[in-house]
Amino acid sequence: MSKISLRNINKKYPNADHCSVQDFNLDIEEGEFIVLVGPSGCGKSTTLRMIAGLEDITEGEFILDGEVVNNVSSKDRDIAMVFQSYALYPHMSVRENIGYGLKLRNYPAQTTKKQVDAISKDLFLTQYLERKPKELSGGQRQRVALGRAMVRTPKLYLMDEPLSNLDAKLRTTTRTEISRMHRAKGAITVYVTHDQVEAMTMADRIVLMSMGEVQQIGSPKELFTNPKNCFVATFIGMPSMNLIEGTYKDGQFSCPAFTILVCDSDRIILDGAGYDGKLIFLGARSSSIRSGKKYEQAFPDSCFETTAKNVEYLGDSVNVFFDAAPMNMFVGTLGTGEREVEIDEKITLVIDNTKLHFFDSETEESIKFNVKAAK
Amino acid sequence: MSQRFIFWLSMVIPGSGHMLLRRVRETLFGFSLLALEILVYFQFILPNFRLLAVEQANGKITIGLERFVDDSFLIMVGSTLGAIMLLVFVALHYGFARDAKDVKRQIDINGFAITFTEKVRGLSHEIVPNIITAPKFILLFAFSFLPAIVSIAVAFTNYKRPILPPAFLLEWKGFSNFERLFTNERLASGFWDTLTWTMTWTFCASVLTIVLGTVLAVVANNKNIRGKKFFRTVYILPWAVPAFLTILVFQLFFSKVGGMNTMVIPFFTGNEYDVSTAIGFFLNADYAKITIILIQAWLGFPYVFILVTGVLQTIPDDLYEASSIDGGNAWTNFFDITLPLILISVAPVFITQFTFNFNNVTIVYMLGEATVQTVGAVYKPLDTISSLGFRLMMDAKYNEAAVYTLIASTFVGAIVLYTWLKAGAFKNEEVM
Amino acid sequence: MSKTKSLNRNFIARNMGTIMSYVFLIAMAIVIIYPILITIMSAFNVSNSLYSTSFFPENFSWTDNFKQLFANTAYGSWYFNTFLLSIVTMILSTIIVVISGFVYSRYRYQSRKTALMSLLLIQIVPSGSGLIALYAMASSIGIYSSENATLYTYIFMMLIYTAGGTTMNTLLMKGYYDSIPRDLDESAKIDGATQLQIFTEILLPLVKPMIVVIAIFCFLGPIGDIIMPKFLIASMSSDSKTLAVGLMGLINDIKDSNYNVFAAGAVLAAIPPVLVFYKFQDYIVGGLTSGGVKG
Repeated sequence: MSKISLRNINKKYPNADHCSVQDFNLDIEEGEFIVLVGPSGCGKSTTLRMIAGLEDITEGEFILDGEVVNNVSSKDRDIAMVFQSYALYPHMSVRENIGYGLKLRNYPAQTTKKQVDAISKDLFLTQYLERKPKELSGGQRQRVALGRAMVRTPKLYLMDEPLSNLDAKLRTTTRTEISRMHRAKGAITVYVTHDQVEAMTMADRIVLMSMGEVQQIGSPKELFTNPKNCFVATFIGMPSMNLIEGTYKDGQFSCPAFTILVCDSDRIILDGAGYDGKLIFLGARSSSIRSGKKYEQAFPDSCFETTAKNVEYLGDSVNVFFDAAPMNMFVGTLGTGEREVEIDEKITLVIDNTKLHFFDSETEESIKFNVKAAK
Repeated sequence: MSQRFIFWLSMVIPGSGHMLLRRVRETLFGFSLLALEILVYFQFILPNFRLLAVEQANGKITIGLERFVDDSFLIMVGSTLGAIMLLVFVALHYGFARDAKDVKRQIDINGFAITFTEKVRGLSHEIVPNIITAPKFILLFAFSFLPAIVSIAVAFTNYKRPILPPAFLLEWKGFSNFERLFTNERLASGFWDTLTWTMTWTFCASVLTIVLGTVLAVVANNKNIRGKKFFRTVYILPWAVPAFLTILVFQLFFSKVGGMNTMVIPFFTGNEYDVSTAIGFFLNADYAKITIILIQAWLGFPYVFILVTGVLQTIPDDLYEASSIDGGNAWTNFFDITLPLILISVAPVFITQFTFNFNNVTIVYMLGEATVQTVGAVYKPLDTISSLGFRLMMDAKYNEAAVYTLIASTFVGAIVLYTWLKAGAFKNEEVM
Repeated sequence: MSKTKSLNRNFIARNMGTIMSYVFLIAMAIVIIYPILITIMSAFNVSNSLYSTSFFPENFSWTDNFKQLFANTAYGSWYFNTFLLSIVTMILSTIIVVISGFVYSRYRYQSRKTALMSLLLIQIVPSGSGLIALYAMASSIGIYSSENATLYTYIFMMLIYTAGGTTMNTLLMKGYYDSIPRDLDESAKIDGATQLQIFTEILLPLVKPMIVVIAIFCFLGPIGDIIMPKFLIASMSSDSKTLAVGLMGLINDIKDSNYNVFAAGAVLAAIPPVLVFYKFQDYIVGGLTSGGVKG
């Protein structure tokens, strides 16, 4: 059980112009599951590797249990890590792989054996213990990598995209498995992924990064409902949030495809912040673009007619794509009961104007964020 | 007191910059380095340099002053070492100067600089790998680099039997050893003959080796061929047997009393073996040249064979499947897929084969011993530039040997360097 | 009718290709095996005539030529000299190559690039080019005039071979280390391994194939070399020669040359390298195709 602080962490590689990680600040509470997420090259792996001690910290402090451990080597930090490539030792059997960390820490052979047996039973690896990694399937290797970390009880678990080499189905089940093990162990876990679904489903808190900078830190719900800027808004959620630039004037937002009325509570905020008559970004999740009488009646001032450019049938819902502006395709997710539509068909769509997001057109920061956060 | 001033001051007197910055330990190190340099300079470098070129009463410029007292050769080695030491000193001065400048810069910006202990700790991960690899570089320096440099110097002296130090002083001859190659009529014609043969030999032996290896690999790896393992085992044999043995065996085999004359030719012609009509393959210059190329191909092809076999095995089957869906047949498959892929990986082998055969002294020298020098010729018919370097060395004509070695090394070095630069080998992280 | 005919012709044509391939492959195999077999045969042939016109021994004896070989020449000490030289060279160079390959692959330090570059450049210098200076150096420091001239010369040669064998092989070795993902080092580091443990427990077992290949190359190098010993020890007593120099002398001294005795010597000399080659054939093929293609 431990508490971790990262204070003003900076990472600059020699000969690089820019910092790979800039001013990273995070306090992690006991037993938290933190997910670092972001597009490739955003610095999330670098951050994890600095926590692991595999990269030097250029500036800032990494505090583990109240001690600055910047210069403590990986092996003395008491951490366990799962690598994206699994990094299984090819010349060792599964048993040796899992037990290697214990062996290096001079555990008695008897204890090691017992613990390895227990963890492999848990991960359904018992029958493969004497095999070499190359004789295992991808999923089995992944479980060995997991087992190698889980056999120990370190202060901190680190996982670097552990699921990215698995197929979709295995990924879902392993996700559950990791969550279960995390709850059982109760140790802090820092998990890196580029997949926002993994972040949303597993995290206690998400740290969303881009270009070496933290964009937003918060629970999955916070990031989804109250994104701090355009980047967060479009990164979290599937399909990603529709964004369009348009003019806000007299309580109305207009862009090439449609003009809609902004709801009263939003209007107070926008007017109060002095955006009347200015360009702003409107963000609407596909789930707030609907169709059908029920919605037309509920939001009579935000209906518009458009042409369906593409239709994706998803079973219990339908994604309808339409042009909001040239080169800017919007998507709305219609429920099955709403309206059946075919490609190139005219359709009246409704935007739920109580669930809109607004962003400054220059800074791309959310206009509502500070207000909401204050509440 | 600018950073630049500190830099240049330290460049001249290591430690002085640090002294001005009140850094005691660096100053002490710098000054002791300087003391050491002065000692080495006066005790070792200067005495060697002084004797490197002494003008004698008869106007000759010799290495060393007096016979039996000065060993010209040791002076040459010592001077080379001295010159390298001077370079090392400059590098050390530069290190001190840069560090002093850095300290000054840190003081200018932060008001303080990292302490000596911190600096050493920071440098420890620089020092450890250097120490681990140091023995290798010492070996390379002593047994590769230094001898190569000194050998170059030999090309400009009169070092040949009987002028052997310390009984004699070596004399500087300038470029006269080189000039003789072109001005002396007999030597010149011999040189051009040798050069032509060297080129022919290098080209023919390399190309034949590569073609033979490649063709065998392609044929042996055909899907319809059984016994691949057997053929591979047999084809690797010439590589497994030490080359000098095979060369000696072939020298016998192609001699007048060898198997070629006693068994193979009678087998094909049906004539009885007769010593008087037997062909001495090495007694005729043209036969000898063809024979040596064939023998080298025999010796060298396994390497190419294995290499190409490896390449063939890495070509994925779906490439061929894709091509047959596109309408390809076995023939187009070979020319459009197999051959280009082989060529890509065999291309670097051309360079290694060329340089190898150009420098291939072993076979040329050994078989050359079996040949007969034609009347009036300066060299034996099989001699190449590199083998001449060796043969002259065996005859204790060291300066002439050095000339040939220098020509050969320059030639090969230039080609290798050129191809590397062109291939971007120095930028390539894979090589680095 | 015409369909079957064309099918038939196709069948023959295809078989023709295969047959031609076999003819070619077998012919080449004969070209390779024949001279080797002749040598083996004459090693068991006792004859006083200068030549033999039959493939099989006319006067077969298992041991006569070998007895003569050991009785009339210093073959035993040539053999001992050569293999001692090559085994010591092999051990020394392999240790150097394995360790420095590790350093170049796994450590990141300032002079690393310079070090690799100088290896690449030194490698260009043909190995024979420094021979004059080496010889002169050896005689200037008194190797040849000392009491243990033979021993010193062999140590000298061993160092030259070691230096010569380390450049290219270090680069090869480094390339092989590079092919092992650094993830493994890092994983071991987090598992609690020291740098030394990473080297001995993780990397060494994984680079074993390349170690074998390099050891073989370093072992075969001195055995096959004739240039260095010919130049450095040719003038020494018969006892201190290597196999290469000794056997070459056996052939070229027309007066008392006996080809059958030479053949016996050649067969004996070839046995260890050929055995090593065959035992580790797969390693050599693997090592060559993994990194040996370059440079």
